[in-house]
Amino acid sequence: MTTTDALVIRRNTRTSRVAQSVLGLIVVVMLFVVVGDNKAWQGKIIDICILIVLATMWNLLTGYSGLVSIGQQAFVGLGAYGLIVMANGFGLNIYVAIIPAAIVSSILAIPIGFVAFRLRGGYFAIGTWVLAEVVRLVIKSNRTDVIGAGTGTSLKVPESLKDSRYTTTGVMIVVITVIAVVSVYVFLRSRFGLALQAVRDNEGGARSLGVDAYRVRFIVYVVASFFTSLVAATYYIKGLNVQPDAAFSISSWTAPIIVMVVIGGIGTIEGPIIGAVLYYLVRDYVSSQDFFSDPTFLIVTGVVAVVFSIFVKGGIWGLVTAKFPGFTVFHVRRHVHLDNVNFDQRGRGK
Amino acid sequence: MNWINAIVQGILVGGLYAMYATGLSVSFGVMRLVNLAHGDLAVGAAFLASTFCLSTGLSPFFSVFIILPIAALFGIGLQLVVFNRVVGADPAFQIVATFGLSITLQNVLLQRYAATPRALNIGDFGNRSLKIIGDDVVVGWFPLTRFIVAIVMLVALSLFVGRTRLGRAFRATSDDPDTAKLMGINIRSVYVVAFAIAVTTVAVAGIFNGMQTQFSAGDGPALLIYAFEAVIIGGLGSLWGTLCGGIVLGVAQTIGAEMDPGWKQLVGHLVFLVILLVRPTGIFGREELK
Amino acid sequence: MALLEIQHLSAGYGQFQALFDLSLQLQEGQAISVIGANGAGKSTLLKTIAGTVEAISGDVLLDGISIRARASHERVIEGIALVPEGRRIFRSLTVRENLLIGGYSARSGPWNVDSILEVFPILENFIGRDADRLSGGEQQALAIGRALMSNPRVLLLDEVSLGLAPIVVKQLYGALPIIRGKGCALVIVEQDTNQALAASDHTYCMLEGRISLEGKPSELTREQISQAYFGVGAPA
Repeated sequence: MTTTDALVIRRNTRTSRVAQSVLGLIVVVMLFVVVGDNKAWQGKIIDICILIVLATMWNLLTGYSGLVSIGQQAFVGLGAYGLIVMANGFGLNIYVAIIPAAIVSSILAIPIGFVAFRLRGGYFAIGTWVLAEVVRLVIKSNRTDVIGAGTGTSLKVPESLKDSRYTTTGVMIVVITVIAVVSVYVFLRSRFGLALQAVRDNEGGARSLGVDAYRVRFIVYVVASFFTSLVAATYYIKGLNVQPDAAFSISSWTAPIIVMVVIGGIGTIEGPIIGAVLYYLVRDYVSSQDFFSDPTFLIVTGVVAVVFSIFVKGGIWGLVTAKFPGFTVFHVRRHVHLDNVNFDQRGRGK
Repeated sequence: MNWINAIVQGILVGGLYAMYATGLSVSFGVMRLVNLAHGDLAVGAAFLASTFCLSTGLSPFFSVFIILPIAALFGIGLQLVVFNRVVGADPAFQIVATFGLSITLQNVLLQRYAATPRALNIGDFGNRSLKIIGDDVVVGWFPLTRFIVAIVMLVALSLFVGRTRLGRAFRATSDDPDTAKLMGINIRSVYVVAFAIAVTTVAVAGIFNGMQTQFSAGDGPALLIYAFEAVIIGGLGSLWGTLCGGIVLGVAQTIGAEMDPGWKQLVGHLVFLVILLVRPTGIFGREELK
Repeated sequence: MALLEIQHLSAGYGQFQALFDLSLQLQEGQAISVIGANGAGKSTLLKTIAGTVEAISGDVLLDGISIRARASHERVIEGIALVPEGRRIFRSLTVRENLLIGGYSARSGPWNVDSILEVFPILENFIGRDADRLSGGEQQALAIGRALMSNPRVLLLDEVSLGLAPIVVKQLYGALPIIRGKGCALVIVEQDTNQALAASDHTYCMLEGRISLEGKPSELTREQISQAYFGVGAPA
């Protein structure tokens, strides 16, 4: 064996680098649109980006940590009301306000998570829902003026910021989306991410290797809540009007997010992104057509979720990687290379 | 504020909650399945009963006997087509599948019956009551009947699980499905029967609920939460624990309502959270929450 | 025709193959033992016969008819019963209920609660109690009794001696001739060779998923068995 025949351990393949460059280009395009003045398109980009982050976070919880939460709407609502409190209440700049709003929300995620983590599996899921309900009821019965005394309130936007609102929000959300996705990517490639996936795959085994499964999952839960609240707050900078039942609604937020990730592919970074974009495009098209009423759309959504979770467990991205094994945009695993031959061509699998 | 009356009413409502919880308890106990569409099935049964009563003019009490076999068949079908494929698999897919089912059911009901609430008409029976302690503690005949039905249901189920051959198979499958197969038990069939029982009991609960309260298409999730809280409070693996859990929840809610009408659900949630923190296995719990 | 025949059986768990082209036979009324070190594939063999592990290739025949496609609960109805490794008693059932559930398949035959209590009188004391109160040896007796309740034609015993004191093992093995006497053929899987060899007419030694030696226990030398068990001295 000569010294030039070295086995190399690589993270990325050429295809993934190309794909990542393409994504980078798309981000640049989005920024261009967002600094333009086509409000409709700005709105679309903002919505899609928010969905991408929400889906990515839910996937981080479910696909990578094994925490199936149907209570993320709690953090959507907390992000919304956090924004109101920070901006209307404390007078912070509406854009700056999203950060403390998200921070407060993720601090609250600690006791919420502590309670929820007493449960497992399906009961954990319902538990997160109950906790979201508790948060909703507490806010709804709150009599403080800032919060709107339970019937809803609006974000106060200063005159000077009114014209540029969509543009600034747009740029902000695109940047946040990139940060969120890249963070997840970097995180999963780190030692911590490895520990997380080990816990997901085989908790007993991971524990016996010294991984603190509880702590690992808890940290992920708090981080996911942070980003969820961050983009939720951003949503309400655009939408302005905050109502407790809408902000904490499971059908408006959690149901679509779950369906997006399931369709796109649970347990992959690419899946939620694809699912979010696809879902948005379909819903956008459908709402412009008259024959599809809201309940009908939701029925189809529900059925699709059931069908995918039984028959197409890997989602669309799973189908793609099955057809083109080794094709990954965001490599999380390491591969062994001999020169340019890639040995690990098993494709992704769960 | 009449505390004793609140407690009595809470106990009676607890019977209803126990009925909701029973199905959840059975399906989780036997196959570790948490059906997020559980509450929606109850609402669906109420709507079916309503349609039946409106078209035949018969009493809702009679409809129970008609809806029961329909519910059982629906449960069997659902288990065969959907749930048998997700039992034992990655819990994420199980949860997503039942969640998707919940969304589908809710919106099918919404589509078919619109958003207007309905009620099942039991005529004067709903108004008659029994005075226990003068005018302070009054027990309605209907809530009492409902409570008795709940007890009967639990007794029947308890006898079934404890004394019959199939009931033994239930318990064996619940303990160790792989070894149950070695006894000659077809666990898929056991799952089907278990789920049929779950759907049947929750259908009865839904119909009884509809006899006293208005119901609408989106009520399912709230009922699921009551069922869930009752199971957790009472403890997994125990049918009588489920009754106890239902009663504790019911009393918590009625006491909360006595303090402030808007606090009814919140107090219930808080009691649930306290139990979860202090005694996660529940009051009579036998199993770990795995 | 053999009562139970394994033909060129390969089986495993997902990507991991545990049995390679295995063939053996069990005659009516016979007791065979399958010995081998930990991980040799003995348990996998029993599980494949019982139907809880799926075969990759090859066949399992009962009375000459292939049962490879039958689910495990169906094989119980056909007359194959497995006493699983680790006893696997049902913890929320009483001792009596454990026995009763063993008879779920309602096959007819000499075994019922009373006749089993005759063979394992120790169980009588605990008959109404929860099964998880029993000691290891008592649980093992219960597990065997439970399997007998299905009136099997073939009884598969997976490492009955595991974790038990020698005197308890001796008592359990003392029941085997009675079981054979009532018309049940046995497949005894053990790591501990002494009892297994003494209790069987024919033995198979397994090594890394294959049969390394077979023959009558009385005709095999200690050295032969030792070599086949550990795989030392065998040609590559």
